[in-house]
Amino acid sequence: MKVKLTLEGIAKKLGDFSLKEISLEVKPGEYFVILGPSGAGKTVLLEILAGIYPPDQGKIWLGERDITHWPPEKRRFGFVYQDHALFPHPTVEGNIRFGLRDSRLNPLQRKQEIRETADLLGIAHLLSRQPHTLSGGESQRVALARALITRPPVLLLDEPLSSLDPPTREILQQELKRLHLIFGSIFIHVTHDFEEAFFLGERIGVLMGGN
Amino acid sequence: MITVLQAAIEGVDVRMEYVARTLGCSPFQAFCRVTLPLIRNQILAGLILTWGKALGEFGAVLMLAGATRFRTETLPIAIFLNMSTGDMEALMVSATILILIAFITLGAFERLGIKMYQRAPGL
Repeated sequence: MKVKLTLEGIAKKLGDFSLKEISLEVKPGEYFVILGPSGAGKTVLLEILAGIYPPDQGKIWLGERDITHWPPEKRRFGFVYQDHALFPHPTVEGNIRFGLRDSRLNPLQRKQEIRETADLLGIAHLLSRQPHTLSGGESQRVALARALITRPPVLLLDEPLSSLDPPTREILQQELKRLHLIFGSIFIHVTHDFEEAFFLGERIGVLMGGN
Repeated sequence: MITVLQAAIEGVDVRMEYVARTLGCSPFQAFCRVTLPLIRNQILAGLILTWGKALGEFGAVLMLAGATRFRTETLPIAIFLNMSTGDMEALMVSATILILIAFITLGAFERLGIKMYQRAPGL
């Protein structure tokens, strides 16, 4: 599904912090990077986009549909956090399968889908492992596979590379570019790293102090 | 039990539920599929603590129901009555049953609980 994502005057107040009238248009299939220092409101903005928090004002459009009041389970945007937030109780395969729970695929097709996504991310050999036995880079690949297997129209990446060592970060930057080409969804990536932003972003937005 | 559960739920990273919701779960489904399995040990511990407290309760039973044989005779009351009447055989049996229940409960907890190595660090 190739559609644009539009934010119209999104504002949100959370305690002392406030996000002030953010307007933005992300083109279909674009890799958009939001650059800003810590505490600028990047994660809050992503969580509003995912539907976790409703905005106090403003509207969010996915193509021609107003999705401002849609809950996260209806939006089905992929979300990858900085520290991966893998579910610790299922295996890697269980984590990836999580999003396919209500899909119309039969068990065999599901298995095939998991295998294909795992191959794409280079984690097929990790499927039976428990998440706490994985390295940072492997965990991030699993988190990406879990988010991408549902073919989300928008993938939200919250500083996905910042907890990784420089060599792994470089490899995963290349991977993200490749995955973006393969899936063709909108990728919205927030970071505080200039180099990462310039390497990955087709366009870059700057967020500072909620502006 | 409520305090144990409240602390356990607060200890689970809420972002895991957020991720579950972006993967299609309603808030209730996210709680059942993500939070509940993670607090399984605390639920078991809370249940066992509550049950153990109820099983060993003596004062409240004595105050509210009295100590009448075959009518309000819980295990601690039975031990008390047997000791009062000097029936050492029955006393030993009651005490042994109570000890056995304690061991069986601990064994069940060990089997049903999540082992340390299955848990992610920090959880």
